[in-house]
Amino acid sequence: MRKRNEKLYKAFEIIAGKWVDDASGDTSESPENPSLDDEFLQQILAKYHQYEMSAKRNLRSYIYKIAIICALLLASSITVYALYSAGLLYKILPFNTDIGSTNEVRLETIETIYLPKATAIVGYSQIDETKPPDNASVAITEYEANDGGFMMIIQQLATTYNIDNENTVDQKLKLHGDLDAFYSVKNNQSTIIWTQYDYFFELTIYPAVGTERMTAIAESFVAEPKSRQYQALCFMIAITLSLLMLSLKLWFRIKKKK
Amino acid sequence: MIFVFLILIEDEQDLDKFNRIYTEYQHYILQVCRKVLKHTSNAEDAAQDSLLAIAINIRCINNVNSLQTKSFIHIIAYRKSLDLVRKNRNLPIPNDNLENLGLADAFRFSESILDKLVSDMQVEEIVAAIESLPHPYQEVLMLFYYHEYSRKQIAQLLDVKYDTIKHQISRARKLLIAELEKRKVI
Repeated sequence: MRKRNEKLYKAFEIIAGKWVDDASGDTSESPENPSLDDEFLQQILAKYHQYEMSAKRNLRSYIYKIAIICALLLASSITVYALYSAGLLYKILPFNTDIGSTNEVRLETIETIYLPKATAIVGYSQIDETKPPDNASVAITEYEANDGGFMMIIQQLATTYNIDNENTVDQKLKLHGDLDAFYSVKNNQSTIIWTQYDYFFELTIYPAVGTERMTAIAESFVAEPKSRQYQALCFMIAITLSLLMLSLKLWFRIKKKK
Repeated sequence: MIFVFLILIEDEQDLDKFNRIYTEYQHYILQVCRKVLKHTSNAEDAAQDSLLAIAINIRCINNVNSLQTKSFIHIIAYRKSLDLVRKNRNLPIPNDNLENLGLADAFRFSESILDKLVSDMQVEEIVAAIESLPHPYQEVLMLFYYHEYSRKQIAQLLDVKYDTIKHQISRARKLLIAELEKRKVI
């Protein structure tokens, strides 16, 4: 509640009185009283309906705007999420996919494959996800022992890239440390780096290198997934917002043309 | 008449209040509108808008026969007439030159300065200072200081944006301070 300024209040009261007196006393321009009949009232009612309609229209258009923005945001998020979960996001993002860059070991990749977990889940479900395995060998052995899903994928890759299937299992790369997100299989001809992300596996096939060198590459790679996921998240947000802005711009342009 | 406004006003007390306002002030409203518009059919149009605005904001009125209510109705009628002038540009525009005010930038316009200035002056001087302000500013200040409505309420009453009212009040206050300072020096 504002504090009343008595002098100002009094001054305005005097002015209000003057206005009222002026308007009441000024009858020179209205010699006869106007006829405020039923028609006059019906016109007020018509105006009220107009006012009501316009208020409803405004409310409706406000709701539409919010709904459209939500729908666009949802659509953009779903698109980006679908791209991410299908592993396609990594293909369109400007990431440096050369592994081992921190260890000054650079290898040309033969190919990088993004495999949605849904397709690899058969093999994956057999492993205890709550505990990271001690090393890659254990993880892979467990995969082998419990389910053929993982092996099916490896076999498929082995056939594609001419990897000796039997050696694939025998010459596993021994890795230590945080292996939760990293598995690797190697033979004399090629090496497959198997990296686990939230929604997909990344399988990178490299030409065969010595075990020592491969370990160095792999260790540097182990540290990468998290930072790459943050990067991916930032890109996801950026792409979502860009898509949203683009959609809004288009929408306003269409609306303006109409 | 009540049948028409039954649709607009749901509360029975409000409806009764409006009925009394309508009976008592219908000709007054039309007179105010005619004074601004100088045209009977346009004045009737503005009077309809005014009655509609009063019906929508009926809860702002407490005592039907008070001076406050009459000045409130006066302001509504005046503003609705001005709105009609703005809508129909071919109608004569009242001489309220809002832009050419010759405002200096270095104005001090806080509420406390106004309070201090007013406390040292006679009511008649304050009245004269207020009357020297352009009309729309007199009305917003009237609604703000005399009717004691909030900026939000004034915006709703006059059917304008909140920011416009905020700006108008602040500008009107600046003008009033300048006018009061001028009179104090003299």
